[in-house]
Amino acid sequence: MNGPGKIFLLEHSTRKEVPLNRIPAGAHFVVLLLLVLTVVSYGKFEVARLLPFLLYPLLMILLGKSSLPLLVGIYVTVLPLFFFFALSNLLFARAPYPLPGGHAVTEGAVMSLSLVLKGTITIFSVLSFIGLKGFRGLIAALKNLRVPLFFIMILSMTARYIAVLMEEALVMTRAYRLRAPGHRGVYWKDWGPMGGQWFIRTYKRGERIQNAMECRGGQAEHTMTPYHEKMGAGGILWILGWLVFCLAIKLTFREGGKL
Amino acid sequence: MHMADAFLSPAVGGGMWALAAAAGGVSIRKSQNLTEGSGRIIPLTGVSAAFVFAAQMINFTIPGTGSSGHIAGALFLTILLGPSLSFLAMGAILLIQALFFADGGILAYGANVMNMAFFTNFIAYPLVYRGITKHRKSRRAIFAASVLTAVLGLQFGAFAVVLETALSGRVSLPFGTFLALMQSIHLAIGVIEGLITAVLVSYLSQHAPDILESRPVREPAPPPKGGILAPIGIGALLCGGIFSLFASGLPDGLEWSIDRAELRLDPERVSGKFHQLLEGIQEKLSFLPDYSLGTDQTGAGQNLGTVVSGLTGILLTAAVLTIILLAVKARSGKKAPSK
Repeated sequence: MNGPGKIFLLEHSTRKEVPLNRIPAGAHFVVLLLLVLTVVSYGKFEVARLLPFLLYPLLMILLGKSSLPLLVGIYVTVLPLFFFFALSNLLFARAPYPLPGGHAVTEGAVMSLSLVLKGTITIFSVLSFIGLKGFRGLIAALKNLRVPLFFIMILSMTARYIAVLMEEALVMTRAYRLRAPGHRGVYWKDWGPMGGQWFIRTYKRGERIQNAMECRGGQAEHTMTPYHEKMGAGGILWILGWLVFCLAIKLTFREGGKL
Repeated sequence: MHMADAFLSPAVGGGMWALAAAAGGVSIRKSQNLTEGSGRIIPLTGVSAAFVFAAQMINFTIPGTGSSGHIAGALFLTILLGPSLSFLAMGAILLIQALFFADGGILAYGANVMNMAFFTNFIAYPLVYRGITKHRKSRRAIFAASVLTAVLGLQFGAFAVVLETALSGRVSLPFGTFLALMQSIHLAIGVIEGLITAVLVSYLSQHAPDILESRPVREPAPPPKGGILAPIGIGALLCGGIFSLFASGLPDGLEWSIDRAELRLDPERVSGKFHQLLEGIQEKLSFLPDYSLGTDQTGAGQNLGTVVSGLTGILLTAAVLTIILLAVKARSGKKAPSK
């Protein structure tokens, strides 16, 4: 499936009855922020001290029963960026970095490993959150965290109109193929009109949807997913548990500490 | 241009989050006022944002470089929606990309919003695009304005990416090399983005001018309800009380530079009576030397010292600022002419 379509794949994989899903999305989102902040706070030569943080995405994926191939598929698409920076580290940081047992590698190799490890932990943490809670959960989390409703409305509208936009693209490309049988892709001179028409068609349809909704007494605010969750004791305990975990790892294995 | 979490330090990421939140807060205040009673703006915002989201997925080859790029889309959104609403729409697009596609990090979200939206929306668009198309709406004017605005916005954004990466210190790519690469590649992307935007805007102005005319009209923003002191205060307390625990223990930029440059102060010049007098005063005044409680310099004691120092510093700064503000207010009250 093409890029924007993946949003629906990940979204459809979230409707699961697992105990982890009973914890409010707001609590999951706070823990996600906490974990990302803790992981990136480690220095550029830290590798071993980052390993305990792999526990979070692993637990989330296993207990949340998220689709690992789907998450890995998304992870692979962003890897080239990490490889670029990792390669630059290998090229520019060539000073020796001593290892236990008298061995040594270049500083760039350690930095690259640290960078890729941090990237892996943070990306899988984010994806496992969405894989568990989905867009509904994201909206609930933002409401929990008192993000302005106006912004949530725009976010919600954007996600909803992606589906409309894709449907219109499908109709237009099918019509184009029927008019130009055997021609591969869209002829470059038609790109401008196609893009413009695509936008106009989607907008007109969006306007019809909006009018239909207003005719039934709906307002823009109603386009937000009507989904509320209270933080509750479970949510607070989830946050506190991971806060203790992060602080314990951070304070036990300090830079220049035991590891 | 989407930055990942691993490339940023908490200080840089957090700082950019604060800036993006401030710009977002102002944009929400302005946009809420614009969209009230205007039913067309809602679908226009949703469709435009979805359109840019899809457009960002399409990577194009940059001739002669062996690389590819995608449009940022902030300019197209700003032309349709105005700077404030466009800024929020870009925020929504980048949040979906970060969470569903891992394209840009969650800590790097603030930096990505600022790099890809702020400069185009609030600097390049008002200065260049509006300046050129204010009196001339010809096709040529739209093309020139779009290309120049897109290039300027992306150049600012690319420079910000380099600066944020360098300040974070997570990669060893030299500043000059990275800057040269980023600015040149985004010059090409800017030209292509400008051309794509110009084609789309020209097409819309010919075939659906009502869409361009339905964009929000600028209106004065209402005064903030409840003030901005509370969020700033909470942010400051979080930074001083909690985030300070994650601060690096390595020497800061100035200390590092002095150390690397092997600059040493002349002991004879700093051992004078005046210096000793000042040193004595400082020692008596500093009740939290080196951000510690003075006794236990290791482990939990050091952390407690950092938190106490952070919170004390914030409270003292707030107190001094309040005194200065009260003094200025009292002075201006005296100077005001009596009616």
